[in-house]
Amino acid sequence: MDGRQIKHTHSLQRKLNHWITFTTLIFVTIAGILSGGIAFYEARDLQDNILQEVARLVRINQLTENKIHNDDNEEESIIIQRLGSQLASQLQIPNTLEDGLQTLRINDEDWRVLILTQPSSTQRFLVAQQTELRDEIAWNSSLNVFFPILLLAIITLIIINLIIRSAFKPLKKLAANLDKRDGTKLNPLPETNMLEEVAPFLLSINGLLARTQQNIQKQQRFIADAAHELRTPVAALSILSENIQNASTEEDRKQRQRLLQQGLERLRLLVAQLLDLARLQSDYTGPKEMVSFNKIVQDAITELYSLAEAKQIDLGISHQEQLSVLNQGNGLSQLVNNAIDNAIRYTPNGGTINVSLYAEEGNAIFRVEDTGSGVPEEELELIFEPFYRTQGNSQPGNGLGLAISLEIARNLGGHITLLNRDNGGIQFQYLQSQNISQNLSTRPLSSAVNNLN
Amino acid sequence: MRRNQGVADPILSNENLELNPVTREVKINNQTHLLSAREYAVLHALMLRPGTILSRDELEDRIYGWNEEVASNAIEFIIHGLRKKMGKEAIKNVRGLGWMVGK
Repeated sequence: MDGRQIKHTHSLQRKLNHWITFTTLIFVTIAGILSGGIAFYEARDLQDNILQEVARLVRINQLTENKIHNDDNEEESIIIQRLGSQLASQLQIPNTLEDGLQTLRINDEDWRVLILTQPSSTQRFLVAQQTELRDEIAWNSSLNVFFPILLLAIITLIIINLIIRSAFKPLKKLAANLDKRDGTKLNPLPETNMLEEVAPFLLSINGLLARTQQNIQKQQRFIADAAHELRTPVAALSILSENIQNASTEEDRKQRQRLLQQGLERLRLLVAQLLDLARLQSDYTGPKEMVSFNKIVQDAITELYSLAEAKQIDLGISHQEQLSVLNQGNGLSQLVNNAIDNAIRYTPNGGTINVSLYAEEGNAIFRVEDTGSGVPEEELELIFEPFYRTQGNSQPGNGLGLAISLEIARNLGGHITLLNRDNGGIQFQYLQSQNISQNLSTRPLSSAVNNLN
Repeated sequence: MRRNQGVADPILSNENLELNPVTREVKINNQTHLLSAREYAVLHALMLRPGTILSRDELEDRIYGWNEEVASNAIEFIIHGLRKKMGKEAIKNVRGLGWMVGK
């Protein structure tokens, strides 16, 4: 498989085969032993019956002595002999034995012997058969029972194996289908003729494929946008740098150099933000720690106060409760700074920006309300997209701020909502649960831990 | 830290003012103003951390210890006095948070 080998610790197919073979063999052995044993003892009984039948014929004088003891012919393995005769080939048996069936040891061999008295002549006879011979016959008949069972079991196992193999074929086909694909082919797997048991996996895989496809498209769009965004300032910078050579006076040269530096600074900011976004979207997030939300907000306001002051904007806190929340790196600071910075940008001179912090139902809520012009309703969702700028937006900026904030919120398990206020302006709201376990569970901690290594 | 000859000259300054702890004088726009003990205490606290907002509580801590009750609007009153001497822009008020001086 693509050069990779996963160690199969649990093969369902192998497990099924193993267990079916194992149990079948156990049952076949038990059945074989039982029926073989029964056949063995029944064969012995049958031979006793034969002895008795022969004895009955002897008793009514229908059969007489057979002196030949032919080992090669099992049919003639039954010996009929008159007791008291002195022939050398005969079995030496004392005449004192009672009538009936018994097992005797004669000349180091076991014999099954039936002794009877002929009523007409009062002569005594014995009908005998060697035990070894009897057992051989019984053993044969028991094997005759055992072998068909064994054969049947083997055939059954082979058939079951084939069935299991063919049942797993769709899975192997599915794996082969996935294996054949290169990374760019993400169309869904065929969903027809699929096993009921496999269907959920198939649907999940197809869901994942669709999401991956979407994600890749999003990334491709992002790269295209980023390249476009970078091209413009780079082009401007190259013109600016050429312009420096054309400066007529020292003052003029300094002025042009200043413009170049400003352009470079904007470019630096754009690249830094692109990196931020890439870092946030990747798995690297770093450890989380509890911080004071109030401190973060106060620091942000301090940092941005001069910007607000320059536009005579009344920036302040309208309400605050003491809040501790989980933060990751400088994520929350960035989110708060972005929100206030945006409010300052889009609020006209002399406006008001109210920042507030509330604790509500276990959530920390951070709000920034401005008296700007708001955002058209249909664009409220779109402005979270990287590089998105509202129509006719003359403010400097690269449209990455909200996209970054959204990623930060996602990492912290928080939620951003933007809405137009009734009396004009935008309300930016960020909500984060104060329940630590909930925040931690938004992303497996292991990924953060792994990255610490 | 060893002070030079035991004489402290820790003049605190920012973009537009200089505060002399020895004379309790503040110099702004080339004009020198003498500050009251409380005014000095508040301005000194702000000048120790220019660019940082100090809350009312933090500033009140500075003027306790004079064995006087601090009225609820004491800080506003002191700031008002300071602004009268130094100009409105010298001390910035951040609504809901407190006051700060520029860096």
